[in-house]
Parts: sequence; structure tokens; C-alpha cells
Amino acid sequence: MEELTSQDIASLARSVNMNIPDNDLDQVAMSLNAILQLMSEITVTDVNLVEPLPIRHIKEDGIYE
Amino acid sequence: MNNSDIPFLSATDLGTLIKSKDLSPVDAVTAYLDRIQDVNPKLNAYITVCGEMALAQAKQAEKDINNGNYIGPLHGVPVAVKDQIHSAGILTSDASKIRSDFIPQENATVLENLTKAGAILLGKLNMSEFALGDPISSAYGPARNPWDIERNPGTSSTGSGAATAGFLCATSLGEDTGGSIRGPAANCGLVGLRPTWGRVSRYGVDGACWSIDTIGPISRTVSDCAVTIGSIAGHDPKDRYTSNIPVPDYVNLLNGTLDGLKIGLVTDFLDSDELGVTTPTKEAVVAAAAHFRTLGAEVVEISIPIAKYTGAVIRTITHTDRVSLFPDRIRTRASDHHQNTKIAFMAANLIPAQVYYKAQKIRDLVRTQVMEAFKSVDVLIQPTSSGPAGRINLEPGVRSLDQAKKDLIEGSFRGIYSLAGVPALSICCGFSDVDGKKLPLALQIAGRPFDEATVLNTAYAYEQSNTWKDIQPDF
Repeated sequence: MEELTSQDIASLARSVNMNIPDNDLDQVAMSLNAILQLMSEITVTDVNLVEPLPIRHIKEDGIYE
Repeated sequence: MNNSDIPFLSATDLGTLIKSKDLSPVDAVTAYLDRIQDVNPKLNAYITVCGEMALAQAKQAEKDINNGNYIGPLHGVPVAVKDQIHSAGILTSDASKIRSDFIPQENATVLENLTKAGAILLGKLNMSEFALGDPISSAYGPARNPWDIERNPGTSSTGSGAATAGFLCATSLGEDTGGSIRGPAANCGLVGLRPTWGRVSRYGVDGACWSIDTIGPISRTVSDCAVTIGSIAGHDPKDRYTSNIPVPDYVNLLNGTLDGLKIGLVTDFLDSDELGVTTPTKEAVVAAAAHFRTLGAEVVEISIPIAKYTGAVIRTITHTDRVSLFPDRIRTRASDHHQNTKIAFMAANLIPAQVYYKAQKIRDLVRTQVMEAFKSVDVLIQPTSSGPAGRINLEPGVRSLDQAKKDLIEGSFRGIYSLAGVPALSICCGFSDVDGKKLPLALQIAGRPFDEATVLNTAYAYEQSNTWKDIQPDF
């Protein structure tokens, strides 16, 4: 995956109405690139079929299937 | 017994002496306050010490016990809680300059429950700013590890780890989103339990990620951990996601018997190439697995293929959720954050929606794979972290892209069970000699949802058949 540059970060920040000082752009770029690169490496074949339900309701008897 | 020896008692032993009236809660609180005065400047574990209030509560506890109104095993026992947990009339800062004047009107449910159990609040403990998991971001300066004050006590409940290991409270509470109870327990040689999500109320605890946050004990022994979780767990009408499943008597269920227990050793976390586990940690965990066999358990190797990705997944979810709680702060008060918090929040604010959505999907797969493992074993074991506590580097900033990725991958050790929402406990499983210091290594034990009892009993059997708990930090 191609790395986002500091310029990319500045543009993205503007799009969400956030000002990132010039001397912080490299830091934010490294932090964000790390997340995006690792997330892009996850290639689970059936991920598109998964419902991203964050909370599974808990049954009274505690049985999970 | 000299008063200066009192803080070295376990919470359970202290409670027993108080119950039998062989020790006064006033003497216990006084001993802890004296030690806090002497030692806290080295450890920086406390943000606020509630000396007068604690002494007043101790006098009341003494009176109640003498009048035959004994409540239970925490009655008169001095405790402390992370500064993320609301305390009526007492500063609750989240270790942030932004919250440095926040005085809650009411207690969090967990603190209210501790109070009802008779525990006495000594004070509020240091932490990573907004619980983001950074060792130096506290507006009050970093807490220090009693095993080596140049090292990180573990994040984000830094003060809970430092104070408990430094004998500055009998037991403590931390909050665990991606590992913030288990990390400090690991770095400080303690017992820390992240309960099942929904076992303990989150009401009145400043959130990091609503669907993953849990509150739990960081204690010196398994019995202390059991008595502490027993006092805070249960349904709370103020937190609609707390379960109605009855809370067992965790202490009475500690029998140390593992006959018939089936343990899965998660081999993915022993892979030094993929996850960076250090040799001493790997050897200690493998030795622990062998030790469990001698205690009557069956140990099998098991793989959870998605394990290595869980650090990136949990960071994506929790940081996005955290910054979304107060989205304007990073725009209008960016410079009031610690530099590391600021960078983390700014990056989180730029995570694309599709990546967040993917992380939530992977989270479901993580839970599926973990629950699949629990069809064949009763508990899972693995290292709590890749190695012992690292040095505190006061220089802020992201060092490099590679380092940022390594930090994310390290989060997988604990993030996996956070994502699965199951109980997970960290316990000391040995020591590593590093630069002339003895540093704790840690074993993690995870269990089925709401089966904290089996997790605790597995840890208890291990603790009682080893001598690790008898080794104390010298600082």
C-alpha cells in the first residue's frame, strides 16, 4: 500500500476541518500509515460476508454459539 | 506488627485481621498514608490522595465493626482507583490538563460498590492521558515501575500498577480497553483481571470505547483479585449492557484443583518473527504450560490464525471511538493535549470509514475464532506481552513507521481478548534479569464469557504452586 505523505495528511485534515501544524504532519503520517498498512494486510477471504455487529447480545444462560 | 509492615499484607490477610479486630482500619489507613508520603514521590502513582476523607472513613469502619456491623472482606481495607473513575467531590482528571478541574457530583458504580463493600478510598491513580495507552502522556508526569523506576509500569492504568506493586494500596481498580489492566499487571508482576464485557458496570467511568471498555482489579494476589472483582461485578440499571447473570462467590470457588481442566496454549503468540515475543517470555510461558500439566490439567496447542492482526484492529476501533466522543477537542484544544495524545487523536480522526468498518468486521471474526477455540478447551494461555517492561523514554513522538507498526502489533497480545469480549487475567510467571534488575514476565489466562471463576481458579492453582508472588520489588 502506498504511504500517505505529509501533504496528503494536510489535505485529509482540511477535509475534516482539522488543522495539523506543519511540524506534526510527519508524526501523524507515520501513525496513520502504520494503521492503514497493517489493516490493508488483513486479507480474510470471507470478510465481506461478515456483519460488523460490535455487540452480541448475551443470553441468560451464558451459552455462546 | 509494626505499622510500617501493614502495607505489605495482602488485601485478603488485611481484611481478615480487621474482621477479627486484631487490626484497626485506622491503623491500616494511617500505615498506607505514611507509606504514600514516603514512596509516592518515587513512583508518582497517585494524582490525588484523599488522606482526611480516608481517615474519617476508617474511623467510621472501626466503629461499625466494633458495633457488630461487619460488612465483608473489604471492610476497612484501603484501596485506590484509576483517575478515569468518577469520585464524588474528588478530582477525576483522566490525567489530562483538559480535565484538570473536573469534580464529579457522584461516584461511578464501581466505586459506589467498593464503598458499599466497606473499602476505603485512599486516592486516585495516575494513568495515560485519556487512557490512550501511552507511558509518558499523563499531565501529572509518568508513573514509575517499582521493579525499576526507569521503566514503564504498563499502560494505561499506570498508577494502578505502580501503586499496587509498590504497596501503596491493598488492591486497586484499573480500566481495560485494549489491555490497560493486563499490561500494568504484567509489567509490575501483579494479578490483573479484565472481566467479561457486561460483567461490571461502566457507569461513571470516562469512556475510551463504549463497546470494549471494562473495569477490573489489579491486585497482588489471586485471592485479592477475586475479592475485588466480586465486590464490583453485577447488573447495574445505569449501564444497560450489564448482565443479569448472577455473580458467583469467586473467593469460595478458588480451590486450586485443575483436574479435568483443558488448557489451550495459543502458539501464534509464541512466534517471535510475527509477534516479537522475547525468548525469556516464551520460555516462561512454555514452562507454565508444562507446570499446568503437573497440576492435573491437559494442555494442548491451539492456533487462532487471526491473532496477529488484533492489535491494528483494536487500535482502529478504540482510537476512532475515543476521538469521536469529543470531536471538537482535537480541533479547538489540540495544544492542551500531550504531544503523543495529540498525534494519536489526529491520526484517529483521519481513519477512513471503510477501514473502521473493516475493523468491526474483523472483530466479529476474532470473536468467532476465540469462541471456536473454547469449544475444545476451557481456558486459553499465552504471554500477556512480548517481553518485560520497557524503559520510559521521555522524548515524545512517533520514532518511525516501523516502530509505530511494532507498537500496534504488540497490542495484539491483549487486544485479542478485548475484541472477543471475554475475561482475561495476567499473572506473573517468572522474572528476567535485565540491566541488573529483576523484571516480571507474565502469563495471560483467558476464559469463556462470564467464566471468570475458572480463569481465577486456574491462576490460583498456578500462583499457589509457585513462589513468584513471594518476590518483591526493591526500590
